[in-house]
Amino acid sequence: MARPISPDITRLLVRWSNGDSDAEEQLIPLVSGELRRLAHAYMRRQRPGHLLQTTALVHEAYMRLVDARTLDWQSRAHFYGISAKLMREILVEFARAGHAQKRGGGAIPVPLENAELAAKTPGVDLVALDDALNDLAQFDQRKAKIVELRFFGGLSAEETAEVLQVAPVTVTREWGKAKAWLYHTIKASPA
Amino acid sequence: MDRKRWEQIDKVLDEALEREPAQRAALVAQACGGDEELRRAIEDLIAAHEQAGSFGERPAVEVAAPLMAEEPGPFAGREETGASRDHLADRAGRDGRGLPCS
Repeated sequence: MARPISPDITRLLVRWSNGDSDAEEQLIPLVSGELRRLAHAYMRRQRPGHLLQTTALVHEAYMRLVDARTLDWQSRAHFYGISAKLMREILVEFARAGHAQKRGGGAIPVPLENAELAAKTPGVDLVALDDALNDLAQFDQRKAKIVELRFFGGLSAEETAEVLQVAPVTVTREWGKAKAWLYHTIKASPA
Repeated sequence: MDRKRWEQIDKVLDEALEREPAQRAALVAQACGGDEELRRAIEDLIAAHEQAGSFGERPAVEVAAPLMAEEPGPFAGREETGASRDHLADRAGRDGRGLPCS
C-alpha cells in the first residue's frame, strides 16, 4: 500500500538545503526511523524467489517519503543532492554499527530467513565504499558526486544528469569509470 | 592520488574503453610511452571495469535493508515517536519557511 508523502521530511530537507543546520539534526533520526520501518516491512514481505520485486519496494517507498515535484528545477536539483548526502550518512552509520557489533561479539541473532536473504544478495560493504568514495572525491569530485547521487540517492542516470547539468551519456561514462576505480580500490584494500 | 596524474589516467581510460577489448592494450601502451606505472594503473582499471558487473547497481538503501531490519541501529534512541513526529510536522508548517516554490 502506498504511504502518503511525508511533508515534514520534505520541509526539513528544504530547510537544510537553505543552510539551516538544525534541520539536519532533526532529519537524521526522522529519516532513519522511516527507513527502518520500510526495512521491516520489506523483510516481512520477503518470500523466496521474489527478491527483485521486494527489494524494489524499499527504494520506491523511500522515494515516496520525499516530494520534490513542487520545487522549481534549481531547488529540485539541490534537493536531490542533499537527500543523497543524507541517505549516505544514515546508511553508512547503520553499516558501521553492524561492523562494531560483529567486532564486539555482541551480534544479535539474525533470523534464518534474513540470513539466507543476505547471503543471496550480492552486497557492497558500505563502510569500505564510503571510505573509498571520500578518497575519490579528493581528486575527482564529479565522479564522487555521481556515485553519491546514483548509489546513495537512488537517482537514475537521467536524474543525475539533470542535477549535475551534464548529458546523460556523460553520467553513464563517468559512473562506469567511478565504479571501476571503487571496485579496484575496495578489492585491493585489506579487509 | 595526484589530480594531474588522475586526469592523465582518466583520459587514456576513456579512449581505451571506446575501443574493442582486443585493441586496448596497444592503445594504452602507446599512450603511456615508457611509463610502466601509468600503464599498470590503467590496465588495472580496465580489468576492474570488466569485472565490476553489477557492483553498485542496487541502490544503497536496498543493500542496507537486511541490516536496518535487524540491528537496533545507531540512531535508535533518537528515532522519532508518533508524538514527536507530529511536533516536527507542526514546527515545519509553522516556521514560515516552507517550500520555496509552489
